[in-house]
Amino acid sequence: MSNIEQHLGKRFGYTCQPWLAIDIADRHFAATYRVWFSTSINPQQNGSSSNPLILFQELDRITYINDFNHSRIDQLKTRLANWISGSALTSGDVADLLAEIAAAPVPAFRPQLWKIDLRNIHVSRLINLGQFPDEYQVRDLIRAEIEVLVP
Amino acid sequence: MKAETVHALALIGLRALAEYDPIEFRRSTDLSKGHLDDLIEGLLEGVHDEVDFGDLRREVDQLRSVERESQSQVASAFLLRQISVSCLERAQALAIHYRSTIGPFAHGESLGVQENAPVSVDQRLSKHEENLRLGVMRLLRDLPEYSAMFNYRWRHREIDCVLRPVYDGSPAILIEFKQKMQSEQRVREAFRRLHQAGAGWGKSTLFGILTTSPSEELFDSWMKLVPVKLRQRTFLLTYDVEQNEFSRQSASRLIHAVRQFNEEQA
Repeated sequence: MSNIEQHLGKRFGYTCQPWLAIDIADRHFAATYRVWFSTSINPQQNGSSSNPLILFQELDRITYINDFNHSRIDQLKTRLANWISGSALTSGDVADLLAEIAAAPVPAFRPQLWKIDLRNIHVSRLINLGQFPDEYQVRDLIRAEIEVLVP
Repeated sequence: MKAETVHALALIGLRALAEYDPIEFRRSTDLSKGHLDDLIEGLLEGVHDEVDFGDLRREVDQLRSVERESQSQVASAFLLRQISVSCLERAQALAIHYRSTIGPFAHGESLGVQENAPVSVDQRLSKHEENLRLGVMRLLRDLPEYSAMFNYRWRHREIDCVLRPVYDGSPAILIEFKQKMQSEQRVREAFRRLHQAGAGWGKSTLFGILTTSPSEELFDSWMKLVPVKLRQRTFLLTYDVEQNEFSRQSASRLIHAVRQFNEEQA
């Protein structure tokens, strides 16, 4: 069992990522992405924030109506800020990015839906987060390992 | 203020998160709690002469105190969450302040000549600001549903003006002001920078270059200098300061685009 497909018995993983997270990863982490995923596009037993389909629908609507008071935007800003704070970036870059995240307009959180080919990823890169039954993480995903289903 | 102060505060928030929500902590970082403690201490040493040092030390002490002494798990989680959220929010507030004062210029990403600039440059910038604001206010007379935000900072760049609708879902309009637009190269570069600054604002965003003195020749041909896919969303606005009007009806196309967008949405 050397790849994730063999380990989980699923060919694909799915995730929903906000544009700003992708953009920051492109600029500061050499287009290496820290992403969660589920093996179904609509995992019923996961929470909304770990369900790619629900999250996409929610963010699509939030950005369409520019709902800047929505709690999901606050949650995503907090998650992005925590990710940046605990990264290997310099303090100067961390401060710059924290400011950028705090001031980001709602459209910066427009969602992308990704499909991950689990055949291509070594099982040693899989993290089982443990909160929901179908939620995993890969911390060093690259472009060649994903397909953007909805940009 | 040092960037290390911002970083230390954010890490204290992250350390609190590690205690009350370990799964979310693992989502966020590969650091262990021990490594995180070392990082925080290292940053604190570097900012011990800063005015915020006392506050930072108090936050760390409070975190340790809650970890050691809290009576129930629920109360402990509540207090740790409160520390986490307040530290992160304060870090972000300080980061905005840091960036507005010593941010991009301090990292050498922009002009790098400000400190030695002669007085006359300041006067020219002042005129720049004045004409920008006059032009935008004239535009708002025809687009009353918008409000203007000047010198909007976003992604290491400053956009001269962002127009956003007050109530409805009209598209955002990003505006850069150029006093003179005399060469093709200058026009092309101005549009390129504006489009770059607009990345992340959504596909309906409109772009405008506001200028007070374009060459007649360029006015007829500027659109050829804009990438084809952006032509429908890009506008050259030529503002006549003396008349307080847009010459050659240059704003009409933009206003029409906004109205058309709203009709399609309706």
